[in-house]
Amino acid sequence: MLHHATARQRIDSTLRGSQLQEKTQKTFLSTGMKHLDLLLSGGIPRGQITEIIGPSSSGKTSLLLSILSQATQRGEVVAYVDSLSSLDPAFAQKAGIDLQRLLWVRGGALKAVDILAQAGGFGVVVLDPGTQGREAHPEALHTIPFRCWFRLKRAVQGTPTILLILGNEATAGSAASVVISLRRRKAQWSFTTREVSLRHACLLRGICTDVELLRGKNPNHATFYSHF
Amino acid sequence: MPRFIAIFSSNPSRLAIAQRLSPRIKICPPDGLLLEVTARFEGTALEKLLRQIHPLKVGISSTRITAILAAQTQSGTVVPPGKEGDFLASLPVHLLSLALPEPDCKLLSTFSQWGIRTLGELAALPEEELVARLGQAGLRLQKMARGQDVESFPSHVEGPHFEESQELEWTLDSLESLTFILGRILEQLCARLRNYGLAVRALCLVLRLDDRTIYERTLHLASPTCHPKLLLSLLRLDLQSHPPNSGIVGVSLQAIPAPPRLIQYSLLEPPLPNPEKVSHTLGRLTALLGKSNIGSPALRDTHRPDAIERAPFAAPAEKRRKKKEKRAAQITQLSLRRFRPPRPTRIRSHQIVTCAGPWRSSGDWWTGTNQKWARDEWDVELLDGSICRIYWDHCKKNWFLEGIYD
Repeated sequence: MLHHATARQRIDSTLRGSQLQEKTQKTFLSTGMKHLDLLLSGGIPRGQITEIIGPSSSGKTSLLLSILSQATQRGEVVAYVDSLSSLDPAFAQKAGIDLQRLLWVRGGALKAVDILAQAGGFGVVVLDPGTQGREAHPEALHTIPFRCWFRLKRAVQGTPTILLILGNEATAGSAASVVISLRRRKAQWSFTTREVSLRHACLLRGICTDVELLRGKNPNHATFYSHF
Repeated sequence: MPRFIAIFSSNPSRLAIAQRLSPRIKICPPDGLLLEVTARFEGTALEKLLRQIHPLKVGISSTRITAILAAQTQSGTVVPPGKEGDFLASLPVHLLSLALPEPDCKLLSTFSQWGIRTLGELAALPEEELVARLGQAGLRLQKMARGQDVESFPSHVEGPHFEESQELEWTLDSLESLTFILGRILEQLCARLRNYGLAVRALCLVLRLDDRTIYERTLHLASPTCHPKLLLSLLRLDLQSHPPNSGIVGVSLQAIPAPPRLIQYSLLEPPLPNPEKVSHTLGRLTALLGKSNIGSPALRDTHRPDAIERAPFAAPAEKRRKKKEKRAAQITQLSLRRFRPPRPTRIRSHQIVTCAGPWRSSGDWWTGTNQKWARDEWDVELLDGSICRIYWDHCKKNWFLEGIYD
């Protein structure tokens, strides 16, 4: 019996050692900025929902256009659901986006995103609910039930499609695998005067943005600059 | 033995009438046609042509050149087989220009200088010496003068017409019933198109309504397809958003054909949306949001701010040349989120932390008062942290908020 127990133990340990650990191979889309890609452990993960949140003038749209530029430069087709029609195609082209590979859906929201996610074949599908005035109306997004977000998550799971959601606050809950929070550190101006009261600058150079990964593989911080 | 009927007429329906008589037709610009018929049918065809086409010049012969010249010189002449040379002998040489697509005037004037006045005299010239002096072009004209055809008969073949119609025994007033009929029509059309190796590029739906009006819709597809179910779903989506306002008594559906799109997918290239799915997705989005809100943005060639237009979206199939990706570590392009339309605004100086400007721009002042624009732009940072672009509109005399830098 001791012989049998020893043999059994040896067999078990041998099998345990030779078990191949499954490695889930995730693919990523680069953001166009090396430091951000390092923060995200490779880039924006495919087949998942990613939220980019932050207040006005925090650099959300600049980061979004950089991601779309990377996708179209790779030959992918992207869809932009723009609820308030706020996209500026001139800036999009300057950011490097191939406008012929961009499907611009104006005025749509979750229903349009659902149609695009179910259709498949798009590299990136963006939901930009827009801002009314200078602040978003968070109640419009918070009224969306969680099951809708999970439906969207299931639609893109296992596909190369990235679902990007822009907003002032996180709204997709646990359906979002990655949440990137942006905060403007400072605006960069070039000045001709040293008056303090009303500083009349010569030129707006750009925005310096702090990035924090609220949810993801390795929560950390980074910084990027948006320039003309 | 074939016989050729040449007709010259200004009647616009001459081609349609001629097509009922013979499938082999050649068009002789500007107003001529050449039909090939069997000898047995020759009399019947001539009778029908004389009855249905007015005015008409007609000639019949066993060779095309003789039929054309007979129609032009002695309308109604029927040249017996083997007598073409005799008929043409007395005709002047310059008449050959009527039968040539590009008459060689220099050659014809050469014949005139030689004293060759008639086709009979040209036909009687020795062939070898004619070729030695004028080459093959001269020999060609001599053969025509003898009543011999020198070129093949490329007949005009009209392209197939893909249209199916159905008159209804009772009035349809529901979309489901119409969908059933459209489905059957589409299956027939697609089957015919597949036989020709073609696909549908656009669909033209014509409905005859019971109030004696015509309801027309045209559906353009992102890429040619030949799937009846996909076409039916696109038609249904379109009719749901644009329903006819009366009952339907007749249906006609025409398919505009195009070669099908062949895409070679690659294992190494990123995947593209399926063209059929793209059409279906665009159809669903169009039904949801309207055609004007779906498409690709395109920039107009003007300095006017926010001058954009909508271009139809079609997933490009061609390979894209990859340019070297600039992986800047931390820098990206600053972008503007626009307000459409720009919002009238009043900003007090105490709200402004920093500002830059003004930059004046203007344009279209040369086109007319309605088109011109002139503005002074400012970039301002406000107390709440937003960085906006505002401008003073010189035409409307007001401040506007154009967008927020983000």
